[in-house]
Amino acid sequence: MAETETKIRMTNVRKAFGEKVVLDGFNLEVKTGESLVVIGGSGVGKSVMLKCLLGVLTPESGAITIDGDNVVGIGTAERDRINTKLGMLFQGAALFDSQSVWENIAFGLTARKVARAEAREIAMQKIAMVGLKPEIASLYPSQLSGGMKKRVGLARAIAADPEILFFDEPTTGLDPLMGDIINDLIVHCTAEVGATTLTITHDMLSARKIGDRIAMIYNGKIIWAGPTDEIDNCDNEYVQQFINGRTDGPIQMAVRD
Amino acid sequence: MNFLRSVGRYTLGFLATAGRLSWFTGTALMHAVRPPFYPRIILKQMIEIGYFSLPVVGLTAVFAGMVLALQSFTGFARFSAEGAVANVVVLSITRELGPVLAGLMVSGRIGASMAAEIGTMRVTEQVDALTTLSTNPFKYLVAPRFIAGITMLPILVFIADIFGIFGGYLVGVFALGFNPSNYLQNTYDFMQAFDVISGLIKASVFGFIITLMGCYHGYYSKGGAQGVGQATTNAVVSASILILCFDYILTQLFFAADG
Repeated sequence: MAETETKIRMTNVRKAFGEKVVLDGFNLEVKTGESLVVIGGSGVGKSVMLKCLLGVLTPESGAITIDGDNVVGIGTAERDRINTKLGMLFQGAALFDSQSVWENIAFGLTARKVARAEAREIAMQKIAMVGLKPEIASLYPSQLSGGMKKRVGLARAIAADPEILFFDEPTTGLDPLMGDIINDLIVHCTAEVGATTLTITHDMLSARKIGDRIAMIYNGKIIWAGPTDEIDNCDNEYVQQFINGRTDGPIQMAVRD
Repeated sequence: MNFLRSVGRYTLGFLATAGRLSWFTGTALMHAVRPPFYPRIILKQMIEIGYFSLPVVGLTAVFAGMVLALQSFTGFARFSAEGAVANVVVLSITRELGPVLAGLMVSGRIGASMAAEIGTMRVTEQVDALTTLSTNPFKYLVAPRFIAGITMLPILVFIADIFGIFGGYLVGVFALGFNPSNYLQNTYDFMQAFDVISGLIKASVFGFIITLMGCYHGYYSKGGAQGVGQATTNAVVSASILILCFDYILTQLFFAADG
């Protein structure tokens, strides 16, 4: 069955910066078509995990496969091919300052040799899809509010109808209402393009809304994973402490390291 | 033990930086010569480096030529060799001052802005965003700047040569009382093609150094605004020092034989 195929698999991944080990024996599996949310505190390796998947960082050991293809230590051409399947919404939206909104959204399309006029048309569709008015197409990122930037970032991520979407802290820095709007948009847009998604967040509201499944990362490993509606009843103390936001419990916040 | 430990740490740090810089240079050069190219971005960078640096480089060259004429006149007057002023000006400007001063001015202007721009893109994840949008950051950000730097600096320096010689002429004729046509004749007679060409080759190397340092420090900057500031400083300082080092090395290579 197509639904149970593995889209992304990370096996025994280890990544360290100098003596600081961030991921250690890290395993993760995302099935085709599902939406997995990885939760965890600040500095536990969520972003590093995502950067390993994007190929921005290379793990010291372990295997990462996307659609069954190994993506660790591959050449530029092969990496480019893998990247055409991916779309990502960055935490700060990471829009290109020197380009207008529609050029930002169309960027990945023109990079793939889509004609400029056609790319603009697709960009306009995506602008409508994320609930923005067509007038903003010619504005520049510096003229947008935080929420609008996130929407444009989302439009850019889905512009090429990717098979896999990554969301890095999609609601961070937004007010609760805007955060919820972005959550709804993410659910709506990913359903529309039919993508497998992997989200990292520490916002539980967002995690419950977006995720089919939730996994919790702690000390460089996944310590719990399960369907979203089971997380409240799980007996993992770490998860319970995290989702209820308690200061007392097994998780000791590293004030300094 | 602590001494040995810190020596070891610095050695490792140095080797790591050297390795990273070599890798960066190699990767950037590979992308600079292999398609696809980004003609629009290359053109934009060429205009930024070549055209908008003209006022700064031109002014610097004029004043360098002027002061050179004045100083060498004072020096040569002591043994009645004032006639050599035109020769000294043309030789110094084309071989040395044109390329070095233009290189230093452009490293302050362009090296800094490249490091700041790429550095800001790095810390706001725009560089990573390029990767996810089927665009290689080296091809898109670094290679166009390399190409523009290597090609535009010689043109800038050629113009600086003209301005510098003109500055010397102004002072020679209007302040020191040289006969204009004699001065020009002296300049023309003494000017050799290789003096100019060697200066232009230097300029190309300096263009490479400026863009390499700007891109390298920007690309590896981290830690927000402070990191970008640090990258900008490092880009300008390292480019300036490397320009002066390579100026000596190239001069040695070009002119060691004929003295």
